[in-house]
Amino acid sequence: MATAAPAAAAVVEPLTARRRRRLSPTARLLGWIGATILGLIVLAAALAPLISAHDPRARSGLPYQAPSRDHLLGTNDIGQDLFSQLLHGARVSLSLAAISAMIAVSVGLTVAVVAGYRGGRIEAALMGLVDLTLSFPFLVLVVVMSSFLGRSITATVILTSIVLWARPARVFRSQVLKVSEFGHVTVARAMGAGLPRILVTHVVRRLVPLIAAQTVRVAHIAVMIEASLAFLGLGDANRISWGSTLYFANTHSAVLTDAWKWWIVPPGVALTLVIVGCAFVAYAVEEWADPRLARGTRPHRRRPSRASKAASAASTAAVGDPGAASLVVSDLVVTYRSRDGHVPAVRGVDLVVSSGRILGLVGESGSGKSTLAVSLLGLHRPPARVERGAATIVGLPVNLARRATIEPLRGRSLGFVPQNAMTALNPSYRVLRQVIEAAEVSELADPAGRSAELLDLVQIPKNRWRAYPHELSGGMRQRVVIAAALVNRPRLLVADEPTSGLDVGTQISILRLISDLRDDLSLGVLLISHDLPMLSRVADDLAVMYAGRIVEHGLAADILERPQHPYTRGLLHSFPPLRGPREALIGIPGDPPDLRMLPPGCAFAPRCPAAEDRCRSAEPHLVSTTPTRAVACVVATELATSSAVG
Amino acid sequence: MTEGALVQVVGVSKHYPAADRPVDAVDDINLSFGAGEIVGLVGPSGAGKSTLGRLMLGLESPDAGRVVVDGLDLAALGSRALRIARQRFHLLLQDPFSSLHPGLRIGTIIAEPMAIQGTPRAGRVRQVESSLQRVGLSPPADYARRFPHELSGGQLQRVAVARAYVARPRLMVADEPTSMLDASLRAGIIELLAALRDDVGTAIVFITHDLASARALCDRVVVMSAGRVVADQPPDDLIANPPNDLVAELVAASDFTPPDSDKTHMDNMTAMVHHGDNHNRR
Repeated sequence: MATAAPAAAAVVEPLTARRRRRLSPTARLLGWIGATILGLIVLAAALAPLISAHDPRARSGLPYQAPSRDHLLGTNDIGQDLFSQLLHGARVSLSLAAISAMIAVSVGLTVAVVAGYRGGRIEAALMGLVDLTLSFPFLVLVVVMSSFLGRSITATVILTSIVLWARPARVFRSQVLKVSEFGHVTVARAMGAGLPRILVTHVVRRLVPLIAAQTVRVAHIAVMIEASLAFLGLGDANRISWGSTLYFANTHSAVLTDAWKWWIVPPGVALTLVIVGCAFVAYAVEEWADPRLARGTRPHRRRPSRASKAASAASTAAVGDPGAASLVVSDLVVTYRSRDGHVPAVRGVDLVVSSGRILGLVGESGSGKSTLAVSLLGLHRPPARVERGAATIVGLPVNLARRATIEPLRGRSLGFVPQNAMTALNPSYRVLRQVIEAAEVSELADPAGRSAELLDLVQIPKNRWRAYPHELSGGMRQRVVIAAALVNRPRLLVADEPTSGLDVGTQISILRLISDLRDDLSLGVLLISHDLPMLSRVADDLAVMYAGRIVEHGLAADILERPQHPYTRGLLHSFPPLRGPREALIGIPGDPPDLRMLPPGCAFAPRCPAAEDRCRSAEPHLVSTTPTRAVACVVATELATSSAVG
Repeated sequence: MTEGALVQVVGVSKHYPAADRPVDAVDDINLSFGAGEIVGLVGPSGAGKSTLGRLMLGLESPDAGRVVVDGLDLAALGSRALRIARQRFHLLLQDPFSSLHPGLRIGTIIAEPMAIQGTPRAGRVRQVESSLQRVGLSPPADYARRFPHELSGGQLQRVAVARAYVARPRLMVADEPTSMLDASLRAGIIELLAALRDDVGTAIVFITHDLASARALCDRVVVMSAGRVVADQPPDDLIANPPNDLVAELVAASDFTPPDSDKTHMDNMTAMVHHGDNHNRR
């Protein structure tokens, strides 16, 4: 498949051309070091007769000689050359380790795959055998079996394999069960892949990191078992291995003389080197099998090439009446700091949430909306950092860059419904108790009474108050989380995607609850979501966020009817309507920007149908176009003002 | 029963042992549709939509009834025959991070259906690249070299559609392919599925919560509730004249009407508040 598209080759490299490097520099370095160590040791073992002048079994010198030119590592108590013993011993120890590891791991893997895939009685029988093997006392098993199997090297290999296969089988099997649940396995089955492809490409391949780790572990233990057998006098007395060398060194009192330095240390060091070499190679193998490891984490636009200047002229365009505001935010800047530089996530945001009103904050993933939410609560975690930002939360001035000033408000005048609120409850406590716990944070009287009142308000039937979270439906759990957020009578509620993962019907009930609470408690609500139709059901005001900035802000009904920013317009056209003519969906072309590499000028310009040259030079600020609307787009601003004049 | 239908589901039931999965059972379903048809399966979580989709691909076998695809009774096929039949099937899942093998390059992932179908190697690269181009991932050679974790969720879902292009299936089940994506990316995926049907003639079963998305894409919408079919109509009929209360509630919940402009829609929703809750237990 070399000549795929010769015509396009000038522009687009063919698929098979120089592939992207798969491993990180660290993994490549460690892999090479490990491979070199192992390679040299194996080479030395293979060439042992050529490298060492002496026969390892012959008495080639005086006993207890210190290292010399003739005897590089001296001699032992009967005058055998220790250097030669080290090299010849490597042959036995290494092949033993490699063969036992190979057998034990492949048996373990086969058992795990068969058990995980066949299930039923076969699985029960195999796993019973695994448990039986694991429950035997290791040493007793070794001693008993070695007397049956004899002392040959084959016997030792069989023995170690029998002792060692069960642990990898157990480890692999749980992973086989997990991997079989993954979507790509189901998809492969659905499109007619045969069993070999499913097992090899889709299941076993994903076990490679574990296989590598288990192989190293088993190889390590195999060498140790051989050494222990020799130590116990159960090894073959005529066999020269690192283990037997150590055994003789010990029994022949090497430690009482200086001889331990060249009798015990070299095989010990060699053993360590082999294990370290294996571990390094395994590191590279793991990364090869799972390229995600090369980056540490999924790169959700969190790493920059360089800090971009988030110069934000303090905008005067925030819409709303600051006098009656639950929340006023001005010039909030949050960056993710990393070794490679800073990624701006929130780039100078101004917001007003009026009391008794819901401000819907809409944005795509990566727009910075959740970062905004957590930094308002001082709940951001490193590497996120609030560079600057002033806020007034329910009348109290707060410096968002200093968590300590926010902490006293959290859970009191500031309520929070986090993302994934479905998992925000502790599974081992009854829900009433969890609401009471939240109530006890404040100094308000009667936590139990208030909790009951709130659970009632969010319409949890009384007979469910003592239920555990798993006994409740998703919608009910979400209501409990909202009850806990409101139990201390906050004046401001921040809710981050409170309905994600819920049914349409349940979503409606949660939204209705929030809008009722707004009215009954004259609560200010900051409601954050990517789902504009959902927000548009309840929001009084809307703020549209793009690449860390608010690009349009105003009355919700007004924006939905006459969006001014091209991005808002695109968003509104992304949602298919339930009624009316079925038009082709336009959506927004392209992908959200990479915050590490923001384009110059307006961040939306590359995707914008209305972009002009000037959009690419200067980043627009939020400008009021009407008393209730602000927009950050030079083209839209001109249009709006000219139509207002004309 | 329609003559020459691509898929015929006849009296199919599938129940799970209570301890295993209490919901998502299907109960005496009858349904058939033709080649190239796009059928929406809409309903709350646990209504049995996914189970019905898996039954149509032979990933589950029914307790009662028959699933006949292209004249083949799936439950009666041997494992080899089923495998061959499935080469004309495809499955698109909700979570692209899970449905694409993280250890393989995008190019290899997209080429997999060809590897399964035994397409000659010579043409594979070109097909991979043209399908990437088709779903808007350009330059294709660059995307083909990447690993899944280097792409965003929306891009990955497009990769999954590109794989479907290469598979050229007769029948594809798309199980909530837009529900994990940003709402703003839904339109793009819906357009791609429509294009797949137009280009390849694939019949698509589009499973979703969202009636508006189903309307945008589907020729017909089947509404399910508690394992049964409660409506089966062209979407516009269904929305204009809901045949029963369950559908009426679904329509009310999906109605995207700006606040205040129509105060009554909130009141319409009140009816379904508890209904929705009951169906969302997991």
